[in-house]
Amino acid sequence: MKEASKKVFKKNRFIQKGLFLLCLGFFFVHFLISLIYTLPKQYFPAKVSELAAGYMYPSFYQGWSLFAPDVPKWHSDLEYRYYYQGQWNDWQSSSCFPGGEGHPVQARIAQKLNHYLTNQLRDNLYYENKIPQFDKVVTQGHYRGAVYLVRAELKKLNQENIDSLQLKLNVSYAPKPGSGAPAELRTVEYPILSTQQAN
Amino acid sequence: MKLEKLIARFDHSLWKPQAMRIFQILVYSWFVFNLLYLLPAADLVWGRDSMILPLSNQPGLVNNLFFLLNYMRDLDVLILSIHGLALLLALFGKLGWIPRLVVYVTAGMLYFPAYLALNGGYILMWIFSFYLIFAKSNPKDASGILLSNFSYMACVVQFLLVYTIAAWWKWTGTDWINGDALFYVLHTEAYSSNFLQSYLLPQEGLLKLMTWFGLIYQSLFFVFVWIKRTKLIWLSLGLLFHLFIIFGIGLVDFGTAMIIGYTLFLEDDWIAKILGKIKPRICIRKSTTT
Repeated sequence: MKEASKKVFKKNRFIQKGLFLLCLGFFFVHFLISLIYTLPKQYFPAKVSELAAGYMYPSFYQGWSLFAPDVPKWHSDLEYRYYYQGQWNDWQSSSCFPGGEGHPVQARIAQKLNHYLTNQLRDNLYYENKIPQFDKVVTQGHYRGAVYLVRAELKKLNQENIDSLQLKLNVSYAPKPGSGAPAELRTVEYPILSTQQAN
Repeated sequence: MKLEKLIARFDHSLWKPQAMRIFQILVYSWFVFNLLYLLPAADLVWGRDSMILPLSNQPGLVNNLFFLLNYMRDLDVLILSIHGLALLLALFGKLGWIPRLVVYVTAGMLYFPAYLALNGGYILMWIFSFYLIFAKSNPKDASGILLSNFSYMACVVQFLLVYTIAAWWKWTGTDWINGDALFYVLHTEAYSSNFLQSYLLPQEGLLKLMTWFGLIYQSLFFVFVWIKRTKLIWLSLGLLFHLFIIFGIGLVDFGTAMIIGYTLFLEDDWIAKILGKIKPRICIRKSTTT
């Protein structure tokens, strides 16, 4: 009887040891990959970063560069107008709910998108003979996201049968600390989209 | 023999049963409140009228699962209902690990189609919900204790990772080192208010001190949180920091998620003391009302 219980105990400890080693192994590998995934990419070879991303995304997707390495130095607001029955309507902000009421999450969605749009303009807008060139801007996902958002707002307003659509981004750049200067304003009007393009 | 001793440290008893139970309750409660907050706008966030352009995803079973709502928006009510039900079951500790697994899966399914509406607070809670799948609140066998302790350890390391990585990124820029970060944050309408802008923006010295405090606090969190003598003061400072994020910057979900993470570092004897103080009061109230 004693022998039998000893055997059971030994077997249980063996399973326990296996479970412990499995957990420990997963723990170290998981957090090592998490570290590689969340630290700046330039620290690691591209292949390593790619492998880490393959494991982390989407199951453990995360990023902790909170307001870093530098803080955005602007506030931006996306506006849109549409052409319908022979006239353009007034510009209206995408972060205000159609009709003036709504859930605060709509403003958050618009703000986040505006942030990406501003970054995207900084990286992709260029000038030729002082004329802004949008070819690299309009092919980017966030611009398409902005058009999608505006279309959703127009749907809420029952204004789906518009002829054309145009977006505009107002960016207010914060002055340098201590300068006392007012915020610098800049407006970028995107090219007009026909309904077909907007869809 | 050394391995046996190490295993015994893991599977003999729960390291922080009280803190872990409170942490579990708070994580699932956070999801419940977040769900209730977003529910009135569910259609705009997840449904057919969503304002968010679906992200493209790679093929594969896991990808297709997490991105299911991206291309089947009509399933939003079903997934939200399953998520809500699983949250309640997990909150009350019913049906073991199954609802905890369902919470993790459905929370992921709800994140990707709504990534513009959610932030790091949601992601942190989602990652915690993965580790919590393995945490039993009252394990009876050695394997259950071992898994629960690993779960606790994973939550702690994840939380430390957030602060350490956030600090690392900040040290690679200039705004935080110069002390200008908070000045710029408060200039952004989305993260500020008229009151804060009029009161804090002219106080440049104070803003610099607050910025440096945030940077140093995040950088040294993983050291000071283990020193028992100063832990309470350290966590209290962090609490103030995150209350500022909640009420000043307006990131309620992120601020509360970080505060919930602090419960992992509470000592069980502190919790016992707090509970000991609360329980007699409840008893007194009950006896006076009867």
